[in-house]
Amino acid sequence: MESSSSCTPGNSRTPRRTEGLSRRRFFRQTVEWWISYRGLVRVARHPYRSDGDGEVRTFGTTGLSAVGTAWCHEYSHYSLGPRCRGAPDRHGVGVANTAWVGERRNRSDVADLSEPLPLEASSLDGITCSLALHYLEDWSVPLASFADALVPGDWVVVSLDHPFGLPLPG
Amino acid sequence: MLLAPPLSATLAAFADAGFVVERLVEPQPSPSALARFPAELTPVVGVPWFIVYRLRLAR
Repeated sequence: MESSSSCTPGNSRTPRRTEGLSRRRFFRQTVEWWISYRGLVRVARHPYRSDGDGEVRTFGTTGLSAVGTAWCHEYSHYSLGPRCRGAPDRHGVGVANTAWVGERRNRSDVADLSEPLPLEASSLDGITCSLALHYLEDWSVPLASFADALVPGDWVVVSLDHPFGLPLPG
Repeated sequence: MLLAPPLSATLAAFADAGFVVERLVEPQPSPSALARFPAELTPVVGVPWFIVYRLRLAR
């Protein structure tokens, strides 16, 4: 890791970065990633709503939010400070509501993606999980948590490193 | 799994949890990003980079 504030995704065996450019910055610069990601979320059964009184479960500290949706993503490393070094084994879990929900926004918590998530059964409409699962050896636990929190027909949007991707230069 | 698990393992994990793949995208740098960071991004145009799945709970 190049600095205490750098949370470059990857594990200690396979550092992936471009020369002089952390992969996190690179990710933010590849705007199409976010556009595509949002595109897949927007076709959800319940798109963004401005009148929702339902709870938003945000797994992480930034990003889009939608009523009745859970989000977990690697930005959550920021909330964990030194733990983001190397291969993070814990992921932040935030519970937040979007601005239009008002007072309940920005509540946050921490949980471990490798353990069952604190979600009520059949309580969500959709889940996004951004660049987070590939830090885990066993995906069955978080995916089972996702399935439990949804009902058949509900959606999950998951982003990952591409399986055919080449090691980055540098 | 390693950082980028094999495609078969990824889909198997989804299927084992009851999800089916409804759609996927393989985003590439946008023209505006290329214009702003040509040295960093031009070499990876056409290189698989990220993959985003939209899953649906089937059962």
